[in-house]
Amino acid sequence: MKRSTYAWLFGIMLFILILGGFFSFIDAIYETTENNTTQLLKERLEAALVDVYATEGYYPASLDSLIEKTAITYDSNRYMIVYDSFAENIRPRIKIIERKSV
Amino acid sequence: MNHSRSSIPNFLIFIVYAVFAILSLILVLLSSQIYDRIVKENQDSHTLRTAYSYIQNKLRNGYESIELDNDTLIIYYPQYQTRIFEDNGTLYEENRFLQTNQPVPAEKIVDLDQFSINEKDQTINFGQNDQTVQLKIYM
Repeated sequence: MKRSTYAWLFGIMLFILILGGFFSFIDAIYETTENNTTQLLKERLEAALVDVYATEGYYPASLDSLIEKTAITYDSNRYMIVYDSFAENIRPRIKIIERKSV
Repeated sequence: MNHSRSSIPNFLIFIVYAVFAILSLILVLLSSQIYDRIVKENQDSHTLRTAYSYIQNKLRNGYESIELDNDTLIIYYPQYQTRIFEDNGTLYEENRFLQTNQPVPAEKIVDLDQFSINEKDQTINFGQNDQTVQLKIYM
């Protein structure tokens, strides 16, 4: 009787341990992904700029124009994108600012 | 005796299932490898096309002169110059305004394995894995 109780306890503890490990693993993956999203969005926008210039021969004059041409989507509630366009043949500067959640 | 007679067909059925499972697995693995290769080849081709068209469009946009210097393409425009060069497998573009002569930090164009300029033939060679493209420059 005692042995089976210990076995049950051990099983439950092992299960909790595995579950905890699994959730902390998921949490770590989520955090890594969250930290990289700003960088990934910047890389996507820069690649889109290169694509548009390669196909059309000029850089889009505005962010709206770039988004319209490349169908890039982003969370505008979370990110503010500063698109600094100078001339058609000079690459615009893109800066992404993450809005702080209130 | 009965037991051994019935276990032989069971074992044969198991073997057939096992062979079927292994062959299915091999088929899936082979398919995924082929798919990966096709995607990679398409990606390489897209990268080459992008680099080629990008530089072609730079050359179309009313430059004053061009200079080929040590695997760097320098395009002179009225108010600035653009330098295109490869560094550590990445093709970069750097603008320098003539008024200030201060280079703006180089911007990545694409990841590219090979970018070389043949000054004698006036050609730019692009390479990505086993695909290559050549752009002739008329100076």
